[in-house]
Amino acid sequence: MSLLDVENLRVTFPVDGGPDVRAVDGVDIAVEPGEIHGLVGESGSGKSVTARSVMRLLDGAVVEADRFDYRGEDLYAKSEAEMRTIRGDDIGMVFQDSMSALNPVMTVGEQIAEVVRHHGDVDESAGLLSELRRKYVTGTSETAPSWRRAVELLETVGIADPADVATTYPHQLSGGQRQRVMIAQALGGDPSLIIADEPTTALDVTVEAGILDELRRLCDEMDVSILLITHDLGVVAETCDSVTVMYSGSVMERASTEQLFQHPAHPYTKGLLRSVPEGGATDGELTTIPGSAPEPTERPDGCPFRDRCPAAFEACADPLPEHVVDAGHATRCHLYTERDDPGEVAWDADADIDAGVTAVTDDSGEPSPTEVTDG
Amino acid sequence: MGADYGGYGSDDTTRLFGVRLDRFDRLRETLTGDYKATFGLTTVILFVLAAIFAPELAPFDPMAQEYAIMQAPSLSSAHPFGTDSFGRDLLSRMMYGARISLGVSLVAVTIGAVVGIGLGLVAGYFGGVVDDALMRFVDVLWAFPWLLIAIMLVAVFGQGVWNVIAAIAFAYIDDFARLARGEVLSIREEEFVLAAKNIGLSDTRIMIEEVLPNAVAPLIVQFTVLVARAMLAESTLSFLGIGVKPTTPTWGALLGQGRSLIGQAWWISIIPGIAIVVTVLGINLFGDALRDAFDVRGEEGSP
Amino acid sequence: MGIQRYVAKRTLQALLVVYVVATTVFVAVRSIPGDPARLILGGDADADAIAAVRAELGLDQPMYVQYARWMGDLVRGDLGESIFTGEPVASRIIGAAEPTLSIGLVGISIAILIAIPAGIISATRRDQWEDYAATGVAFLGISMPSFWIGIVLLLTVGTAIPAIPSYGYTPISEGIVPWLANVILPATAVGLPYAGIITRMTRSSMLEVLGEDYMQTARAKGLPPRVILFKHGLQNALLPVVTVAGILFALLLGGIVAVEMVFGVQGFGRLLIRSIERQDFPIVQGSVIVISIIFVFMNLFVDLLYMSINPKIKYGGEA
Repeated sequence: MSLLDVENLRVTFPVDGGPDVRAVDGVDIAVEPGEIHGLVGESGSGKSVTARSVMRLLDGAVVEADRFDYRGEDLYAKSEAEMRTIRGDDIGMVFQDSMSALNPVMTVGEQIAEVVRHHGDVDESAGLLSELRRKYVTGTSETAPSWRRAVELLETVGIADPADVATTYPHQLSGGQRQRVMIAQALGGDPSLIIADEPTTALDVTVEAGILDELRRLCDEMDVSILLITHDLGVVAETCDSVTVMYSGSVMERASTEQLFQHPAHPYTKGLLRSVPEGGATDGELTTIPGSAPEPTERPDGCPFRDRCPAAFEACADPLPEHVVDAGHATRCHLYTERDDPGEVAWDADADIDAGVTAVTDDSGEPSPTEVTDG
Repeated sequence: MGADYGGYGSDDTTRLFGVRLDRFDRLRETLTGDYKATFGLTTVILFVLAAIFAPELAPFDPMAQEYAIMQAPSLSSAHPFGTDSFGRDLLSRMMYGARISLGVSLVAVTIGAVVGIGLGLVAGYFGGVVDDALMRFVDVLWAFPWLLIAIMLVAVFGQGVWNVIAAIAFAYIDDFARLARGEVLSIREEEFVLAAKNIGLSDTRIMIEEVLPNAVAPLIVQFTVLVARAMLAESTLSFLGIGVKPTTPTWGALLGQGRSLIGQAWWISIIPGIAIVVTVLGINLFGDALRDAFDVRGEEGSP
Repeated sequence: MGIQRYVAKRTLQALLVVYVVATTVFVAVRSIPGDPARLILGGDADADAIAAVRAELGLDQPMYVQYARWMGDLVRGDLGESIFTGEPVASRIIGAAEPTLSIGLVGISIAILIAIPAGIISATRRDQWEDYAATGVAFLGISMPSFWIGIVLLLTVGTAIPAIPSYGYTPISEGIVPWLANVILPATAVGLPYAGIITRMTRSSMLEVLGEDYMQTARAKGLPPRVILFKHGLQNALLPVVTVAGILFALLLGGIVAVEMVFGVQGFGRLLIRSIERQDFPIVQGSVIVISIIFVFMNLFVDLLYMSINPKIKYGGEA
């Protein structure tokens, strides 16, 4: 049984005085125990919304799915109080920007220790008054089990001098250290699943490699599954066991990492892979595909990629099909269901340069025409 | 980013004195759709009209004393807002008082704005030593609460409209200077300012034509908020008897005179107060609607 | 920048500002038309007597000597004597300070006790009736002059509840309860406008904090909503409020002076106004300087308070 099993997820944000925005439009996600599953896509593809929907953190959004099971139980059938025993406890979350995602006025040790108190196996009161007394009056005792566990966790995620680092504030740490703190915090409740939303995007390449190794090691040694959200196929190649490729709110392709890199099926995946160095990481910018992803309100019928797809044909306006390429490898492209031979996709090597557009951007937001800046 | 502010010749949006007019579209929408703005603006306009047309509208001469009801202030149909201890009609006095109260506040804040914005512009635009020197000066201004400035002016020059105006204007220079400087600091690195420098425009022209129009929204909000506060300050000074000359019927002065009659004629102490509250509330609500419309973030109330 | 250096620098700045204020007062007082000696002695005094008083006041000395004397006296805490009673100005001011401080401190306390919960409720219940109510009251608060609130309170609460005296002042030495009963109305009058501003500030600052990433992190950690709000949100939301609370002492001052007149409190404000009316300049100039000192050091205190609750400044980082 999959640890996380989501079928046909649709997430809609109501907009005042405008059409609703459907950020996620029919996504299937499955995370198996003990694996790192990559969820890859451009900014605005709906990957972060998908991740947050697992934690039920999407205020004001309408979330629908045919199935939304975690360990076989429907997450959306649970009460808010039950969700609180899953968030931070069974599912941990690591956010992208550790500077803004950590509380600036609390020591990092306390931010980890409070997770331990609320979810871990320590006999310490975690009520509001105890927490406030700890924060404003007594401070967290350094002999308290929760604090000792926090220091241990910092050591686990590869922080040198964990006891000292625990007493510092987020702004005193480097980006890499902060991201490790975020991971330690996610580990505080001894989770089975960690959702990591672009955990390395804000980091230097060398620091990034360290964090990714750390995630890999946690998965192998501590039996934690990880859902890794990224825009970077290099990160996928380095870290993930299997991967789901998203584009404009829909899944394009699902495969093991090996299958995806060896035999990509979907023209979009092929486009993405085109300029990724063999098995290597890229530093931010992946590759270029002419045009830009459609706004959620302006998606064409059928395949959302068809306006940019060099192999597009009439059938692409039909609803997305499901085609199994191989065991554990599926794609949602009409080429496979409507044509006997999908053939090779002819990507024009110079198209991106002529168009002068960056299609897959890093974390800087919407794909947009490259700005001309002189002086 | 440059596009947010309207770059130097970078778009063809209609402009008025260099301010992009489409910025005001949201303003118009907000003002027509927002109960706060509607109430605020209506109130302010009503009071301004009452002040301007006081000679035509006032039922009585504000200085005319009715000997029959002297020492017997009363509410009656002839005097809906009552009379004071000299038998003068309170409604008429309030209409004339509105001229002083509104006028003093507007003039004082305008002076404060002109001086303050000038200082802030120069300090922010040139930076360095100029900035340091000007901002230290502003710090000193800021250390004088407005009440003290007023007291010192009255002590030296005696009572008078211009002393009140000067005291309030002085007190608000630093508010405008700080705000303008902050805005300029963020604008001066924008590409359209750099472009204007590159094509050789003079500093004065860049400040007035490029920088200032883009700092206008928060300054307008600030202006509104401070006019409201200036009215409160003026009324306090008049109430204390250190404002405009005691014979002038400002709202604060009317309240001050009513204080000794509070037992027998409560309305003298209450009704001009209601006028102050409604006007100031109107200006404050209008200012808040402007803040929403211009999308100005930041402090609700620096004094 | 080290914390000691910062404190030293700020203290020095504060002293500099006080020095400039004192100099300004010196110049202002010397530019008042008329002869202080004649004012003291009255119009029909003879020339010898006037000369004697001038010598006593040091007015026959050159300006720079007067200036040096003035500054020297200030440093020793000597603010001169009242023209009318001959009492030292410093002791007059200290004598009048208790009622004023009582009204001010109780007023601020009332304001904070009302405003911060109101602001938090307003933000967490955004666009619901609690928010509209709090916002409406806050707007009303910032639109009313303190002295008028005082008059209204006097006419309503003061006449309705005889247990609350609406006139004068009871020293705290006569018991907390009578003192508080006497101070509560003027303090409320002074505190309400203050509360209005702090409510608006707290609301907008809390709204901003509620949208911060670390609040979502706290939710993702499975913390209960109240722990998230009060442990993770409140301190961050109050940081900007603290800075403004300090600046607002200026607003408070005008309120207190006028409210003292309404309630007939023999406080600092009344002393100040009486002295202006009687042209008792030594008291006026002494008061101006004392207020500036309080004002400047209050703000220094607020700065340090801000530092102590903001780890970013306390432990380096952005200075």
